[in-house]
Amino acid sequence: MNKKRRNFLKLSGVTAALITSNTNLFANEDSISFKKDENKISYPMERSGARGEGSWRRISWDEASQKVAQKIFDVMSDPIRGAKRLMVHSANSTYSKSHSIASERFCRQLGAIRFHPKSYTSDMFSGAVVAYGDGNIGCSDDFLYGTDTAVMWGVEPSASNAIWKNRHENVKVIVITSQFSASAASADLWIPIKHGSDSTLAMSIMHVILQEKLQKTEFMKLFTDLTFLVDIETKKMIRRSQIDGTADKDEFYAWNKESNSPTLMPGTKGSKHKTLRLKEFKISPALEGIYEIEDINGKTVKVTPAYELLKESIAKFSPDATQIVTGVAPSVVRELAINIATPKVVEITTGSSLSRHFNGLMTIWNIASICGLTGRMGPYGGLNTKNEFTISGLESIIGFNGKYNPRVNSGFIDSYIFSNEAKIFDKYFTDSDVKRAQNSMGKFEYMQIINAMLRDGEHGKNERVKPWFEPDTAIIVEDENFNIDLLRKTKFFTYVGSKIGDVAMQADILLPSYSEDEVYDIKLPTNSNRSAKLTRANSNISNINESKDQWRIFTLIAQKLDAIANKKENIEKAKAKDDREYARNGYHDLANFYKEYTNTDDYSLENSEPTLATDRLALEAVLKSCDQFKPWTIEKMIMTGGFLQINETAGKSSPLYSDRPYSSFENSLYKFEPLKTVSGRQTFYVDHPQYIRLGAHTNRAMADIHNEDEKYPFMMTSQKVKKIDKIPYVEINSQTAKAKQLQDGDRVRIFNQLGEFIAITKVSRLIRPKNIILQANHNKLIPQTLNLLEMADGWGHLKFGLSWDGNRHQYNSKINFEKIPEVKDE
Amino acid sequence: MSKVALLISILLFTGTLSNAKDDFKKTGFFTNSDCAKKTNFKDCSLDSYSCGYEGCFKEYEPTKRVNENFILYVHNEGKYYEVNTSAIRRSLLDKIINKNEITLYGEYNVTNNIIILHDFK
Repeated sequence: MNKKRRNFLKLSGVTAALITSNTNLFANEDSISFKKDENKISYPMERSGARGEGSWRRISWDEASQKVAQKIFDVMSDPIRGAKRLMVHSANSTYSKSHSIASERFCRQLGAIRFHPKSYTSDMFSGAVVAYGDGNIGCSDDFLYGTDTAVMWGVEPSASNAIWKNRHENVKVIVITSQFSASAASADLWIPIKHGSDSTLAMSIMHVILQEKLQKTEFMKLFTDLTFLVDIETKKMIRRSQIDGTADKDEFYAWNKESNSPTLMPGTKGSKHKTLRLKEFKISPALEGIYEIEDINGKTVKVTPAYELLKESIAKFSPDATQIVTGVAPSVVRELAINIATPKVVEITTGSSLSRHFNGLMTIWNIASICGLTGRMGPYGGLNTKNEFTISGLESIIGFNGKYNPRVNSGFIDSYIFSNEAKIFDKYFTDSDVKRAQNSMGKFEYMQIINAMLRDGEHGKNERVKPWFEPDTAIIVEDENFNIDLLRKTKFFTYVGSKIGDVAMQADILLPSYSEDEVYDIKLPTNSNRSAKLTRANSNISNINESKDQWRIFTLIAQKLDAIANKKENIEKAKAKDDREYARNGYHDLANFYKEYTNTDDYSLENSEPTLATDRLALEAVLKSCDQFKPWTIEKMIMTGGFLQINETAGKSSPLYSDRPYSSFENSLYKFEPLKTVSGRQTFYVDHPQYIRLGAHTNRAMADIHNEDEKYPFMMTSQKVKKIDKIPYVEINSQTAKAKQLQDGDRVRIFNQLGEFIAITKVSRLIRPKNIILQANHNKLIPQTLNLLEMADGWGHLKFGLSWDGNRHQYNSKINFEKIPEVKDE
Repeated sequence: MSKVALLISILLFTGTLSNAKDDFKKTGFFTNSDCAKKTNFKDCSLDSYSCGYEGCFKEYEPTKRVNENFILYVHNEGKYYEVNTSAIRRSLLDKIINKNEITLYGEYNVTNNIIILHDFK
C-alpha cells in the first residue's frame, strides 16, 4: 500500500491487512489476468472511528451479516419506521441480467426503498418518454452503417466510437456538439452549436422542414397525435368525457373529413380498438383548420388539430431568428434539415448529456418531433437513445408472483432534498435566470410549485406526484456516486462492493463482493444487435480474499434475518406490516425470509421455481426463465466462446431478425400497433397543466438555466467518469489557459457563489474558450435543479414508474478559476 | 309458423351454411408470397407485407401500401395456399402475420388454390 493510500485509510486496533495492496485475480470470459488494485475491499469490516474517517476493524462474515440482519429486523419490525425507512440500492451495470438482481430481489421482498435506476444517474431520456412512452428506443449499432445520414447529437466521443470503426463511406455523418472532438473531426459536417441551445436548433430544423414542405403528412396523420383536437381557448385536448360524459379520460377526437364531424380516434389508451388503422373506421383526419364542436353541456367549443398549434410554435424559430442563440448559420440549418428530411434512412443518435441540461427533456422531445414530421420509424430510422431489448423472464426471478412489489423512489428528487438544494437554488439563481429558462415563470412561483410537490410526494402519499422517502437504514451496492449527504443522515449503512471510495468510507459495515467480471453473469449491452456475453467466476479467487458474489451475500443476510425473526422474543414481530401496494398480504414474512428468498418455501417448491442462492444458480435460472435466452445453457455458452445469441422474442417494438439490424417501431409502422403513449401515437401535444402553464404543451425551444453574474464567465460541465480521483482534472481551452498562464498539471482554484475546490489543469484545444469540463460526476459548485416538465406526473403515460421520472441536471454552473501556487506533495 | 320458430329455423339454416363453408381448415405459417417463395419462415421482414417484397421500403414511402397478399404455408403438406382475406377486418390479421401454427377456416377454391378466409385461430 502506498503512502497516500495509508493516509486515506487509517487502519486501527486489531486490523489486519484489510485492503490488499498488490493483486487480485480478475476473471473475464475465458481469460484470467492479474490486475493491480489498491482499492479492493477484501474482508468484511466494521467502522471503528467516526464516519468517513476510514478506521476499520476486520470482522467475520458471520458477525457482519448478523449485524446487518439485526438492523434490518429492527427497522422492519418497528411499527412507525417499517420498510419505508429501509433502502436497498444497487448501481450494478444495467447490462447485468443475473448477478445484479440479487439485491433487487432482496429489496422487493422487504418492500425497501429502491432508487429509480436511471433517473439518479441522469440517464433517463425523459423527452423520448414524452414522445414515445419509452425512453430507451433506437437501433443496434449495425443499423447505423446502412443509413443515408447518421446524426450524432450531443453524443460524447467515446460513445460514438463504434460508428467510426465500421463506418460505411456512403453514410453521411453529421456531428452536433458544442465541443470539438475526434468524432467531429471525422464527420462530413460538424455543427459547433452554442452550449445548451440544442432545443432551439431542433425547432429551427423543424421550421425549415415545414417551410420547404418536407414533412410527411400521411405519416403524421397515422402515427402522431397531431390530428387530435385541442380547445383553442384552454389548450386542453378534447376528451370523450367532455363530449358525452363517459368517465374514461383517455379517448380523444380528431376532425373526420369524410363525415365532416369530430370522431373518436382508435388506438388511444382508452379506446377499445387497439389498432392505428384508420381506414377501417372510415376516418380521414384533418391536420389543419378550425372547427366548432358541442360539449356535453351544449356549449360550442372552438377546436383545432394539435398540428396548428405546433406550426404556430415553430413559426417563431426561423433559422435567421435562432442564429444568435445557437451560433449556427441559417444556411447550415437548411443543409441540416434537408439532410435529415429527404434521404430514405436517417438515424439521429442522442447522447445522455443532452438530458443533463435543465431543459434537456424539451431538447430530446424536439429531436423526436423532427423524426415524427419526417416519417422516421422502423427501417426509415428515427431517434436513437439507448435501445434496450425485452428480457421478459427476469421478473419471475426478481419478483414473488405479485406477493411483494417494488417501492421505487424518484431518483432525482432525493439528492435535491437531502443535499439541501432548494436553499442553494434560492441562493444561486436570480428571478431573471428562472424566467429565462421557464418561459417567464418567476422564481417565486417556480419554488412554490416545487415545494408543494415535494411536500405532497413525501413517502409516496399522493399518487399524482413523484414519491420520495427518507431512509434511516441502508444497504448500498457498488455505487461510488451515491449521494453522500443522504447516507450521512442514515442511522446505519452497509456498503456492499468490490472497491473502497468516498461513499464506502461512510459505511458502518463493509461487505466485500466480487466485481462484475469475477462472477457468473450474463450481460446484454444496449445497442448490441443480438449477442449477450457470459462472465464466470474462477475458483482461485477465493484463495486471495473473502469476497463473495452478491447472491451469496444476500442469501447469508437472509439466513440471519430469518433466524433473528424466529427467535422466541421476536416471532410476534416477524410479520412486518406494510401497505398492500407493496405486500399483498399486508406484511413481509420475516420468519420465512430465507426460504422465500432462495425459492425453497412451500409455494416455490410446489411450483418448481428455481433455487436461488449463488451467482451460478441465478444464471441458470435466468437462462431457463427468459424466453429470449432459449435454448442456451452455461455449458453451451462456454463452448461457443462465452456468448449467446438472443432470439427473436427480444424485440421490443420491432422484430429482432437474425440477419438484419434492429430498429424500433416496425410493429407500429407495419402492423399498426399503438405506441405506449396515451394517444397510442407519437406525442406532439401534452395538456398537463404544468406544460400548458409553461407554454410547453407542444414543442418549443427552452433555454438552459444559469447565473449571469459576470464575475463567473465560464460554463462548467461535468463529464461522467468511472474512476474518481481525489483531486479531479479539469479541461481548459488552450487559449484561455495561456491567458491565465496555466499549463498541464497546474493546480487551479475553481470558484463561484457556492464555494470553491481545487483541480488539476488539462489543457485542451478541443473545447470552447468559455467552457471548462470537470472530470467528476458531481460537484458542490453545480447546483441541482428540478425541472417542472419532468416533475409533472399523473398524466397519460407520464406517470411515475420505471419508465417515467426525471434527471439530475449538471450543466447549470458558471464559475471562474485562477492558478494557485505549486504545493509540493509530501 | 310463429315468429320464434321462424327465427330458430333461419338461425339453424345459417348455422348449417356457415359450418359448410368453414369446413375447410388448414394450419401453417401465415406469410406473404415473397417470403414464401424464399422459404423465409422466421425472419420475414415486415415491409414485405406493406409493399410486396423484403427491402421494398427503399422504393416506397413509409405509409404506402401496395401489393398486399397473404399465403399460408402448410408444413406437413409442403404446400402453399393463397388466402383471400377480404371478409376479415385487416387489423385482426396484424396479430397473425409472420406466425406459425395459425389455423385458417373458410372455403377452398381448388381452381385458383385460394382459401377464402372466414375465421382463424
